[in-house]
Amino acid sequence: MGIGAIARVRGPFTRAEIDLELRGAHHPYLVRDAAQRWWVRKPLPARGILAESVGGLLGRLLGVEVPELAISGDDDRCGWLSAFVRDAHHWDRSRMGALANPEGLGRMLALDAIIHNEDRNTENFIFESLDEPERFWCWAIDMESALVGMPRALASKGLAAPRPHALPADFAIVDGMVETARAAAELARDADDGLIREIVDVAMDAAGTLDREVLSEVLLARCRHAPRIVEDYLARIEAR
Amino acid sequence: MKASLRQLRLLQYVADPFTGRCVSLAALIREADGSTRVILAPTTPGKEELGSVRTANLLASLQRDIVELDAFERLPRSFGPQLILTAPEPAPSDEPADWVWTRLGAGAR
Repeated sequence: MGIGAIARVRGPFTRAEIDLELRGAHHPYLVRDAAQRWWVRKPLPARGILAESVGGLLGRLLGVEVPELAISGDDDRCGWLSAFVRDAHHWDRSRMGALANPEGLGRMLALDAIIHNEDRNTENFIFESLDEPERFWCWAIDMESALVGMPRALASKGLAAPRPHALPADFAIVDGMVETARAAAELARDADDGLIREIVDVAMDAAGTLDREVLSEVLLARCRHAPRIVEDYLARIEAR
Repeated sequence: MKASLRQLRLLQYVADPFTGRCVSLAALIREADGSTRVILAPTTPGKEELGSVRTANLLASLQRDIVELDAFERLPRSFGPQLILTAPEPAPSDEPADWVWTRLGAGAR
């Protein structure tokens, strides 16, 4: 199984008349492409594109629900595109029981542990409304701050788990979450070397950054030891 | 209508950010003593008006949270980006039910 590429979406892009409040350090905003698709566009630096790319591709491999991702190709400076999820709200503990894919939360934690993402805050969970009343689909967004975007900094962390300080204050590990996080960690551990290297290659090509070999080695190491890293991360969450 | 220190903001759902089409869901009124009250629109928009059953489901599920709003300055972070508040504006001191419902009915853009 190949990991696929990151699409390049050609412009022109139309900016929304109403600027929705999309939070983020890099001032994301809503655009519509020529095919009328709605995207959140972020003018990210290379390290942000690298982090989003690895997070999105590895997330796919682990079964994490990440909105369609792409790069805008309408100017010299690359912009990051993430499909806008309509009819959604952000993290809400009272609606956890209404999730149609609760297993996604555990997988999300495993992904965050591996890519060292310390920015899983309230707005980085999306609960999309479904056709059935009071049912939601959980998506993971915004991985631009994950340390995987800075390969040497990630290498310096060794096999350390991230700190869960940005998680919503009322976030708690519930039934089934640990099992799905562990299953995702085992999936990462058992992934073929070539697949992990392919993720790095595709992400590096998208971001245009260096340190390909450093990232390959550190990501391979973190995937091989994912069960331990994820276990440490879960323990840190429990200990908050 | 008498002027007062009372202020008004409309809570709207941005149905299409590219055309600017919004649907008004409720009014937030800040009273002179600083308290906030919520007045819901007389009718809840249905899927025909909203264009999607998912949108209708989302708004129906948020109804209880909207009723419980107690802050005038901003919406809870959980509400998501398609719910917005209009800019604060002075509101009449008269009993709000009638004029608020008129505003809410005319609030769609």
